[in-house]
Amino acid sequence: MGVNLRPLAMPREISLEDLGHKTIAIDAHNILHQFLSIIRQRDGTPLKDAQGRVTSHITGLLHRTANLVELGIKPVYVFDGTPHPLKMATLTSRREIKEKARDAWQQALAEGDLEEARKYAQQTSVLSPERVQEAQNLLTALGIPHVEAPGEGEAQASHMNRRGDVDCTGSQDFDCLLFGAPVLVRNIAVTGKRKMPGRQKWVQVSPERISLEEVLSSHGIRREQLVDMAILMGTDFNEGVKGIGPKTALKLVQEHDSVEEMVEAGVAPAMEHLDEIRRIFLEPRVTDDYELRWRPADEEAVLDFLSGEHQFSRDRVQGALEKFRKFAEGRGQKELFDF
Amino acid sequence: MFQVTIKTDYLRNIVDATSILVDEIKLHFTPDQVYARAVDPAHVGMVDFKLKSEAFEEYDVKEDVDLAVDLDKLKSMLKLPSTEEVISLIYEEEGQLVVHMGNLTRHMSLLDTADMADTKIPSLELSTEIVVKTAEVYKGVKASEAVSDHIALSANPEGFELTAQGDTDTVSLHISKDQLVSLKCKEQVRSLFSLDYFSDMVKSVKSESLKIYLGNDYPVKMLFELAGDHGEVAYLLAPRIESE
Repeated sequence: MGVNLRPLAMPREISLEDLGHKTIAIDAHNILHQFLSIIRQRDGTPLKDAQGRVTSHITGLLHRTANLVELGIKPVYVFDGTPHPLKMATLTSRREIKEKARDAWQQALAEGDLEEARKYAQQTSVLSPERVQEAQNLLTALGIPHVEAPGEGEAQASHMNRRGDVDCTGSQDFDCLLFGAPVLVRNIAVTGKRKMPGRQKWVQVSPERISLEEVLSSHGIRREQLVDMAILMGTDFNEGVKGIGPKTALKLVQEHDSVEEMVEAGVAPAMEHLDEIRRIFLEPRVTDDYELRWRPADEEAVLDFLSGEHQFSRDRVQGALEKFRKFAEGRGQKELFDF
Repeated sequence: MFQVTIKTDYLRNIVDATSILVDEIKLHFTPDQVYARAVDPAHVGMVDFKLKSEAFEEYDVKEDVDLAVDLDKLKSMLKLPSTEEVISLIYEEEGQLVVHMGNLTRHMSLLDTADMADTKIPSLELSTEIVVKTAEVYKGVKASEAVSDHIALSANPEGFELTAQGDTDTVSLHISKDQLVSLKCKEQVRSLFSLDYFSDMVKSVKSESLKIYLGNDYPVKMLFELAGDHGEVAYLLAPRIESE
């Protein structure tokens, strides 16, 4: 998903506490996908209710959001709208990968190889419209704002960050930097030990903060050049040039400024839809029509939905709701800069 | 590079007044005064103080210098069992402040000022001005702490009132206009504050009277003098808004 800018990004490890009292626009599809892929049993089966309906996404959303608000972090979730036509190829190939993974999962299960089974199972996660709707309903009941993007969710989240309405953008996706997010925070969905896929190995995962300004100034490039680099490497909207990774791409933009000049110098092929893809990142489809208001949770609605409909343990839901209650009380406190 | 000497009590007043909100502070030394401004991490309380060169026993600052200090370090010095009446601060070497207290010398490493952003002051319009004996407010705060986490400050043309509403008990302290030092108030105003912050602020007031600027569901500004009339501390505190 997205362009791998990690080698250039210079992330700084932070703790969730460092985000206390900050507002964060979270790329909702990105985080829900992570819940669906990670919150699974050992053999890869996602969490399900008594009717066999998957609940990994709403479990993750409830508890993770509770952890954030407990620290005074004010989240707003940003959902994808309609994808850009150029993204169709990526979406189709993702669908194919999922179908193949589903077969491989079943086969691994039949062979009794739980490691393999879990690995493939994680790749089968589908964020269906029903699941998105469930997540949105839950957020509404919890009193947490959510915004529907006209286009890409990460573009909208980055836009809200650029306007200064939120302090940072929460996503795993480095594309947020291309969309101009001033501060990208990664690894907010899961922290602590995370299992390496396919291996009996766990790594410590901590949230990390990436500053667009720092990335650009330390490499001496402009955001337009970062976008050109991404286009060379391949994005969700184009294939990219074989053999060009982050390091080569950086060197190319530092030496030749733009793709046009590279083509002229004969170091890169002409890129299809170049201007269109640039526009996707630099002038993204976004809206200013959103309201950031955190309200007290409708506790009855939350319990009805989670414990009534999906048989979540009432005690655990109550435990999470307690955190939302404290969050709502704390919010009565205004900040000096609100005036 | 500079050298200043100040009464230990005055330095203690400054450290007490600022350390209730922040652990680190950027002090601006100019040829005629020292000033600093800091907001707590939650952006609820702000302190803004200035101390004129006249407040010092010795003040030799030739050019503007910004120093970022760790307030805990200064506090630990001030806690020492010492009867020295003055403290000297000498800044000769980048990144280091030399503190002399009698025959005791501490070389104190400074923080990087680049990491500390300058604090902007919100522009507030506060029409009601109350000047009240600090001891009265202190009494009201102590009584309120026993019943609640919040305190409401209200005023009308007849007087000033502090009230705290707990689950079972309430406290109120009414100070009529003639018991106040002065009162400028055209209409009823009321704002609610976290007692945590408010009581820390009131407890660090060292002057006999306190000037309070109040609005409706609006930040409060409190002003008091420091080092006679050679210094001034202003606190700003954001309100709590009841049931949105």
